Amino acid sequence: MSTRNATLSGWLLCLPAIAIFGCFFLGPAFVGAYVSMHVWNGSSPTLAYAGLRNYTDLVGDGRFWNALWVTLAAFLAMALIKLPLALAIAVGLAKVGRMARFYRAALFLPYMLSTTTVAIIWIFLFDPYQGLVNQLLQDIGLESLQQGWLGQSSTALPIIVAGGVWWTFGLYVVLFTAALATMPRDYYDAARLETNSSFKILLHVTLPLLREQIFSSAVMLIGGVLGYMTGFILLLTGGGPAGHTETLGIVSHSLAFRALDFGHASAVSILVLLLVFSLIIVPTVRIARTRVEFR
Amino acid sequence: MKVSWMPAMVFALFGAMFISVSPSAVAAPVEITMWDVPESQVYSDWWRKHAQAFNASHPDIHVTLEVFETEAYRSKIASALSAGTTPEIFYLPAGPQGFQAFRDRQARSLAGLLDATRFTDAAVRACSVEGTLVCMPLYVAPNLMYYNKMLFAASGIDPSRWADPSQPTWEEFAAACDAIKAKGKVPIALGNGDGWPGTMYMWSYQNRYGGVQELAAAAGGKGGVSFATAPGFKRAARSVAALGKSRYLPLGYNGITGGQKYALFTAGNAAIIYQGPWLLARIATDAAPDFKFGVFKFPSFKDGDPASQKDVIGGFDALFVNSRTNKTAAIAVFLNSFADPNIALSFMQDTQNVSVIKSVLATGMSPGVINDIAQITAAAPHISPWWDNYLSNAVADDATRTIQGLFDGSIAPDAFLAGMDKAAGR
Repeated sequence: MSTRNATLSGWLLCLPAIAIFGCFFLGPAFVGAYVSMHVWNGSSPTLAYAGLRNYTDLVGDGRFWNALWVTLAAFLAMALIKLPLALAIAVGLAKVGRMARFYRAALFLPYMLSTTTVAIIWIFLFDPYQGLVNQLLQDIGLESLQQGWLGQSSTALPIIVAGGVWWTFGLYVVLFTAALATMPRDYYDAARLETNSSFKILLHVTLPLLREQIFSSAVMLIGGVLGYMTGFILLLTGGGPAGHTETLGIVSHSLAFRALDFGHASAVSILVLLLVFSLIIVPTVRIARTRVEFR
Repeated sequence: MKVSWMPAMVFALFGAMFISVSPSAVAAPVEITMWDVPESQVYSDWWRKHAQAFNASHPDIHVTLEVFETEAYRSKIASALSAGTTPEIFYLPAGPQGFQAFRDRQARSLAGLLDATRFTDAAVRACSVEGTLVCMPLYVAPNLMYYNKMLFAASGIDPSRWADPSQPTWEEFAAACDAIKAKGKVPIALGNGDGWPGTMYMWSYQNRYGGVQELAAAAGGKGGVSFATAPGFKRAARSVAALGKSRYLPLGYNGITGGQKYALFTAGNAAIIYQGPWLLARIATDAAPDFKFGVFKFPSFKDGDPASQKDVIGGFDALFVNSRTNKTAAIAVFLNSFADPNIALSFMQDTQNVSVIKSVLATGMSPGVINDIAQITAAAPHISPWWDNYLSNAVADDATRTIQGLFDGSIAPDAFLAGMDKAAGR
């Protein structure tokens, strides 16, 4: 086969994926970018051109900056709790033996639950009057510690982050477990010639070899905070109290479907897209260039 | 004779097409889809039964009811309007979003379709845009204070001793709340996780202090009046902030959402709840059989606007018709069936909503809370509109979103009102 034919075949094989990506990802992104430069209420047949005004409005809007902060705080909190926890459990499971599959399945189970189901569980736990947590505090004589967990600015976001961690960290356990299982023992045997410290081996062998999975997990976490967590937060607090759990996804949703301001809503979405892209592009390229494959 | 297969194939194809489009012995019914929200279970049940009965009595029309959860429906209908995929009939409050859909030619005029003479004048006015009827009003939903009679009695409160048993003064109301609190119960069942239950207090305080004229002036921004400068609005915002600081509200009220906000009242955890008549269905299904309750109007203020002290805050929910449909004759038959006196009466009795059909209100019905509510509503000098039915979506959304901060003190009253002005583009 000539080089030209090989190239053509390659493009033809990629065509379905490119078509799907174009129709369902690139196309909507371009439509979003177009709408973000217009004033549109969502039902009018015409859109009024606004240039970059929707973007400059957002830059001067405290709500946008608050939501950006909440989004980053939720991401950082989930990353700092979820990834080390999942990694620790994955490393632990590698040593458990026969029961590892059972524990892995048990930990993965919450991930199978729908957003609504997890939200209902969390409401059953943290409702101030009928929730299990406040009931428990009352039963053990600690009424003074009862809180309106989801209605207070100091506790609402931590409770939501805890819910997000419990719900999805099983997925990361499975990811790390699978990656650990494929690592050649040679690296560890070589490392043990240098040190007997398990911590040092974790730091200098396991973590570097897992960097691709850790980075992928971080990207999935960003997607999660802006994606499925939006629905979770909407069901639990709607972004309240007073914006303390309002992420950029909720701002975009609220602007589009409550205020019927699709221009500003699209501008938020485009800014989110640019933010995520700028966060992941450099590490993605670097990891792709220095990829390690085990044979 | 040799017969080519090609002409035979073409003939067969055309024959099949002819058969498929030719009128059959029984014409297929006109399919109509209606989107609705489950205001309560009995409300959804009533519509299902009504659609079934209508389909049975009208073989040439088939109505399919699709019901969506209220909060999800906000997104659903906005998406459908933007994509032009609304069904023939769709639910919306008689307010800015539906009216904008009419102006944007997504919803059609109902003039000539609906017999408006069977509806109350107030309902027809609420569903009209510049004199054109654009939606069919379903019911009027006045906000009233529902109280738990047993908790009131246990706290030594007897509404019949109030100067006006149907409406306390603010001092009488505050004394009742103090007495309930002293008994270790929560006075007011405010579940403000969704924001809108809290805005009801803001609307009502503003009505009592400044009245409907001030609301219209501030909304229109005429004569230099704004939300931040109107005295009634300023005082109302301060009153909401003070209510948030009072000990009358439940623990974590800003995080209580969905059905939990009603459960505070129906489970007997709190004595008073300020809601619309949809609460009646919740009480019927969720409260204990011996649960006894009554209603009174939002308190009056001696130093408030004299013209508005007896007002009721309320809104109209409605059905709109897609402008692109050509099934208007069938839609007209279905919509007008709602105004049938017997059907309208069953709607009011079964769903516990205040009817907007003249014949039902003129005839009256068996004594009951819903009848009391209908009488209170009819006697009110004004029905001051819900803000989310009256103000622009941007302003109403801003108020609903920031009201939690006004209650918990993280947003100052002046900042709350300034936010509304900003959302109004001022």
